[in-house]
Amino acid sequence: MSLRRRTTGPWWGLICLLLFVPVGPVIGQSLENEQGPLPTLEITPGAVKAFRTAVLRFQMPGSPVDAPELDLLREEIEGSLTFSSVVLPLEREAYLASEQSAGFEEKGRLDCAVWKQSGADALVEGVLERDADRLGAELRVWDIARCRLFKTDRLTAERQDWAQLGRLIADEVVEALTGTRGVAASEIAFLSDRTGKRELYVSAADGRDQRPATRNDALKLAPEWLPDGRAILYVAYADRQPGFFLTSRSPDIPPGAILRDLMKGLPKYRGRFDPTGQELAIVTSVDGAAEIFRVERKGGGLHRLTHHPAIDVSPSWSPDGREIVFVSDRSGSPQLYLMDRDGGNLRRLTYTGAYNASPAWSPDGRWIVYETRVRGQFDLWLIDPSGRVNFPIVQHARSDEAPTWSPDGRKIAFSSRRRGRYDLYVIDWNGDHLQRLTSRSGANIQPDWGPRMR
Amino acid sequence: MTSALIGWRDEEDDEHRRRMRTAMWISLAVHIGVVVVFASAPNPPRIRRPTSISVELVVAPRVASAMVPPSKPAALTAKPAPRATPAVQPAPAPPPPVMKAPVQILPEEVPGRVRKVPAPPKFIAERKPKPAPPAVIWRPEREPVLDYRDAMAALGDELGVDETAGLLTPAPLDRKDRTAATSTDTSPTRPGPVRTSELAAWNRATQRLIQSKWVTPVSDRGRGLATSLELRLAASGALIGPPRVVGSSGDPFFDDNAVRALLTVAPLPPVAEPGIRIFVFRSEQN
Repeated sequence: MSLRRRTTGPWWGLICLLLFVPVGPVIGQSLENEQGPLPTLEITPGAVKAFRTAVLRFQMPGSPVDAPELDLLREEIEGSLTFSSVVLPLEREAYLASEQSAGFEEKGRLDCAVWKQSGADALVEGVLERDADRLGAELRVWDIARCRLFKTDRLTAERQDWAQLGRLIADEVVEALTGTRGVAASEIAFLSDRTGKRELYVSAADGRDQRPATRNDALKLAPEWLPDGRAILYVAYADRQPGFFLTSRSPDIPPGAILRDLMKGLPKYRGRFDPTGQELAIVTSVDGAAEIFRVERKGGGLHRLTHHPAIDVSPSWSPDGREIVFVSDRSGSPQLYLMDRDGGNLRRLTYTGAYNASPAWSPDGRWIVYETRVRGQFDLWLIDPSGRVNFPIVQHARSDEAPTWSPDGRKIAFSSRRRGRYDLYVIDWNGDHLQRLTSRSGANIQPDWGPRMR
Repeated sequence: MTSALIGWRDEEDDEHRRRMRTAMWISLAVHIGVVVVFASAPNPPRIRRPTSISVELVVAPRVASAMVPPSKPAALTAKPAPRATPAVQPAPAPPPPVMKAPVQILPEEVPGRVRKVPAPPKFIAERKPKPAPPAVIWRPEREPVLDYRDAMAALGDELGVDETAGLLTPAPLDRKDRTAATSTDTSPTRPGPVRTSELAAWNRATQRLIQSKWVTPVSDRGRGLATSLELRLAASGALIGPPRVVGSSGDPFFDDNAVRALLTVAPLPPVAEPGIRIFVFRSEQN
């Protein structure tokens, strides 16, 4: 027995060795994990809230490198990035490399180490093309940390619309860095009586390019964008009663009165499109009390959603279209309520504030912004749909009213009387970066932020 | 994992094996040396144990002579404290040693009073006296020994405000740092506090460095996002290979942003314990 053991021992050893050699790394790995938890360091956010992007001067074949259009485009991009407040242009004094794009053919020309040292998180460059009626840009956005391309894209705009091309490029950069497209190229509809009559106006999101969208003498209320941005619904006092009208910039959508035959003879005060744009939540007066209905855009499928002698107004859809937040004074004072799209599951949302109104649901569904009366004027507050978190974002001694969300959910536009008359303002949803959009005479009220345009 | 990481891991293993081999050789040599020294050393002379030790109790010389007149020593012995009385009475039978308790004079007490240390119990006198206990000698009470911080604080009180203090001592840790520092203090080879403070300082420096570059848009606020990155650090603080997402937040851009922040600030400060670490990036709360 002992002799046999002596002869087979080395073989067993060899077999064990052969068995363990290939699984060595695996065992090592598992041992590494079993040695206890790995050293962990928790990183909490610091003060840096915006990315920095270097914007190079684009190339335009056939034009000198210092062509004024190239500088104009660059300034438009930088201005739109600044408006985003989440991606800021890198100060040009910080550039440690050439401001001129060298074109796309040259390989490995981008010195990421230098740009990293300059403080850039990203870099934008591109090549411009111009034909008879269009501007085109082939765009490249670089990730400086990894020294690789974030994205390439091709964008077009009207021939002379350098501003719009700059906004589109800026929105692309914001999307590359944050995953959510910017809103510089979106528009805001609002009402203004700057000419003596209250008309519907449209401006760029940063307040530039303000232009009228209606020219009739009727008193107008409550503008509301069609979700695809091709038309704007508003309420006008024509035919002695308020009714719905469309102003359109698409040949497919005829402008003029809509839903004229719906509940004939009853006034319609407000209409809000659902996220698909196929249905509307409308407010109309039944038996002397304002009630909320749901109706298809073409006029069919009318459903009454509220049944209460109190006033029910200001509906706003959740981004998934399943719920509606609205204002009702059924408890004695105007408060926010939630209900499903069929009117069921009704519950009260706000319990603080004696007068809460004008709710607007954020595009990501996390928040509802509303105005609440404090000492005779209105402040803007945010509340989450569960009602657990409720806090102010705009507080001022003069009224801030009619909030509306930007399509990316990062900003809120509203009208405020803080300068004596109503003007439009934009603010980040956390209360930072207040910007005034209007400065002309007259009252500028009831903004509605439209969808992104491309 | 990339091939670069595997390569580094192999090199680390080799280095570890080399160190172990050297340590074993040194250990073996030390053992052999110790054995040789013991074997070659001459036998020490045996010390005879004394059969008996005679001890005599004496009255200690008076310290506070100014307080008690020297002319009345008898009064001291004549009026001993009541507690000490049994000690003064010698034990009966075995004649030789007459033990007297050592005397301690307490400065706080009333001048002239003497407190004797409790006498040894009677059975000491009955037995063969073993090696005598050392005589109790009175010494003035010492001030408590100050530790480093107290000493520095006292010095600071004397010298006034030290404006350079903050430059040399690590800033007080916040809760997260303390947690991280404690969790990383696993080395049995070095004193705990030193290791903890070293790691805490490194954690703090690294945290600040990353916070200075990690962009956290306000849109991330309140979303409760957290992403865990695994990274391998060289002693120089350089990243060995790219960080790896081991716990995703569910938002690929949040994850990617954290990775980019790390790549932007790399290299990190030199680290005492290179190897794998987990960095958890958390979004802002409301």
